[in-house]
Amino acid sequence: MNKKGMSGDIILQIGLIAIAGFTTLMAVNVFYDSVETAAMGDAYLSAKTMASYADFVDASAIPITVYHEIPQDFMGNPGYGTVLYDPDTCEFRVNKYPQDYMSNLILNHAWETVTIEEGLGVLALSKYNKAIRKASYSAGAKIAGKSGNIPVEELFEQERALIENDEWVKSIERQGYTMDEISEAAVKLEKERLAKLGEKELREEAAMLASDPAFASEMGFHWNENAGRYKNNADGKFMTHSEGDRLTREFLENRFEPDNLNYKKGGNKNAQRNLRHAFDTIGIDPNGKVGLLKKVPGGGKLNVHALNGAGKNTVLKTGLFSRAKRSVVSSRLVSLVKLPYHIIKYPFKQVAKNAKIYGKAIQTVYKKELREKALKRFVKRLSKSAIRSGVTNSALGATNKACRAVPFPGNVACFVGTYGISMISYAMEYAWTYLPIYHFIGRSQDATAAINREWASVSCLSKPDRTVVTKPNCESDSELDYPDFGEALFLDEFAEAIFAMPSSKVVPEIKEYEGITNKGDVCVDSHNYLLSEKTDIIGDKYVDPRTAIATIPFASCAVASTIGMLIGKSEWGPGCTTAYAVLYLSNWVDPNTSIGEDAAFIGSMAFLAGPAAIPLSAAFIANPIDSRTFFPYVSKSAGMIDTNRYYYIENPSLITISKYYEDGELVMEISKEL
Amino acid sequence: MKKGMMQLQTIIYVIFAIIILIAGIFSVQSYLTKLEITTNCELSNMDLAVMAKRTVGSDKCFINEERIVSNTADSREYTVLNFDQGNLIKSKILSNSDTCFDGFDPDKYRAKFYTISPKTEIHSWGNLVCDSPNMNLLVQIDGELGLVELCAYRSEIKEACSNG
Repeated sequence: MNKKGMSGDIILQIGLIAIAGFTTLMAVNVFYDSVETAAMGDAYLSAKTMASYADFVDASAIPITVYHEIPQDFMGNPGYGTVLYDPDTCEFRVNKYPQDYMSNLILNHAWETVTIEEGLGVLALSKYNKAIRKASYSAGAKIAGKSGNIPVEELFEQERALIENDEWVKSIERQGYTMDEISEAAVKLEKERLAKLGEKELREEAAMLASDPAFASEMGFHWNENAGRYKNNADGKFMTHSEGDRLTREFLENRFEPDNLNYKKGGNKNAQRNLRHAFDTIGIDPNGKVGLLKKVPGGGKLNVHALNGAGKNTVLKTGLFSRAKRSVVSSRLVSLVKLPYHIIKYPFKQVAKNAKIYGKAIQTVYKKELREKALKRFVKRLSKSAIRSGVTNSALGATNKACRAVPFPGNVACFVGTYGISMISYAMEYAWTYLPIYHFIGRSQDATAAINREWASVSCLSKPDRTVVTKPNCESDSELDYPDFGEALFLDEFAEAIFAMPSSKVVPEIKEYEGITNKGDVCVDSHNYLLSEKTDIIGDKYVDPRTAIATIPFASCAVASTIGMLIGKSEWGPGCTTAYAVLYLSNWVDPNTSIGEDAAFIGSMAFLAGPAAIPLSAAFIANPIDSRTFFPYVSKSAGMIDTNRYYYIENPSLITISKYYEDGELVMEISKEL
Repeated sequence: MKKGMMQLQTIIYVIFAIIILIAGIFSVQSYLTKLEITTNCELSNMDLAVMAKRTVGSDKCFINEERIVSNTADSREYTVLNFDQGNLIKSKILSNSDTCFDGFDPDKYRAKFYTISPKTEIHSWGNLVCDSPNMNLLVQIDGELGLVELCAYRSEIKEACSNG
């Protein structure tokens, strides 16, 4: 085969493959349409059917019930996850996805790989439903298992204590101590204390311990109510005074042994109080003084011998002093040897210090109330941007100060150099922050548009005077038979929230609709707040959120950097990106910032961003974005569902539309039966 | 085999495969289109059925409502409403038509009420002009045999319905 012929073959083959590929894609698309219509029906058809059923029922002069079975897809999902009813216009609005799934889809679409669009939608929906079901079972079992016969308050107190203990243990270990050392110190001090304790004081302590049921059970005794004394579990004999004294001492001495302190995973929950007492005995306030230990560098053991004879309040000081002394000596030695190294490193240390402060502050703030995955990732990206830019801003600020001391033309070269660094920093932020955020917002908007295409709406011809619903605000019945918590209403509501609407906003009030009479008296708002919150942002109709949130601020930062270079303030560029990141973090991680906090943020903008502070501050004031409104705003999903207008039926399998007598009048009822 | 024959065969096979595939696609597409048109036709009929239901058996329209009051042993009073469906009251036809057909566009629907033997029109609602009614309801009007002709505007899908 000659060269010319081979080339022709290749072109031919490419052409054929291209044609075959095109037709295959076309075939897949049409095939998918047909499968979707066959398996899930058409949303318009469903809305029209329900509206017609409502018309029939309304036209009936006698009691009637129409059962509307919702078609299921081949994975068992209801064909329509969201059915909305507007009692005012008798409008049925239908979408194949439930609201929480829509919200998840928008949030996840922003970062995750796209599924092969609609093709895998059914599978994803099924996966979602299964995950929710599994999580619901798990949560229900967990709550049921934990509660048992324990009063609710005690259950929560146990949980709180466990979490607190974990934090203490982590704090102690972070400072270079082991919990065994704490145990050793506590045992020693306790033995010394008990040695000095008289019989009277010991019995007073025993009386206090008696109120703790764990004390008796651990000692092998039980309380006899009639006799008002302890009885031995084994032989049924009453506890004697001498026996009580011995057991009390044993109990008190042993309670700080490692096995009796609750700092090991899976440890005895009853022993968690021992850990608190151990801290008390040593004189450590885990919530306060332990924090001081963090500042002491170096390792080493807790010097138990140094504690001999020391009072409670001096224990910590002793430990601190010995460690601080060692640390000062060693650090001075190191400083002498490495003096030149330290001089060179000094500005970088300052930068690192700033970075730590920025990082800590931001991490603290953003941990506050972020739960959504996409939101976390967004905030992490902003956090990193703020740290990076903040560090560069500090470094350039210090360097520019030095540049001013250099005579002309060296200072010009120096400023140009810092401007170059500023632009490199800006380019990094462009690639690592601007582009991902811009992309993220675009993708979330795509997802919103895809969901919006699935809506279908039909109004009835009739206008029923009054519609009765079995549950207020269309709260969906859980398919699960979750545990009955009896008087513990809080747990009931909690479980209901978990089971019925995994990520919906729980509200205590019953949501009322004009034209709808609620038959139920327990209500949680099953509408997803991310789809319902109106953002009320100035200019959101005219300026795309991508432009408002990403393009304008980043362009302002580039301008600020250039202007700054002219007057030796090139740190304004990175300062601007820092300000941008901090601004948006603060703006929506806390929905309730005070005027004072807002003023502090705006005030700090000028120091960081120079003239760019003006547009940034203006955006900050004009766009009251917080954690609740941010995603609806950027993804354009805000107001997708008017929660004040629509009654929501979530994931229905069977809906009944009926008419019956109530107080001598015929009323219409819409219920989600299954 | 001559040089190039193999390529020619491949091309022919691929072209035929593509033609078959495209034919398949269009047949599925055609099926879906037909399904949609038929669906629209059926949905239109549902509206007409609602109109018919209101005509013959709605408490808000033309039938008579009878209240049956009963007392229990403990002197509690219960009221049960009784309707004679299909027995229309002429005075109600004349007065309640607009209320009864509320929601229907008068330009796209028409209802004509007749008494039979001889066929005499007693009332008409709606402005639609239609040659033949879509639905005939045999009723009683004030105890006499009557007829209600219902007509709906369906020109866009008329063909689809008749073929469908």
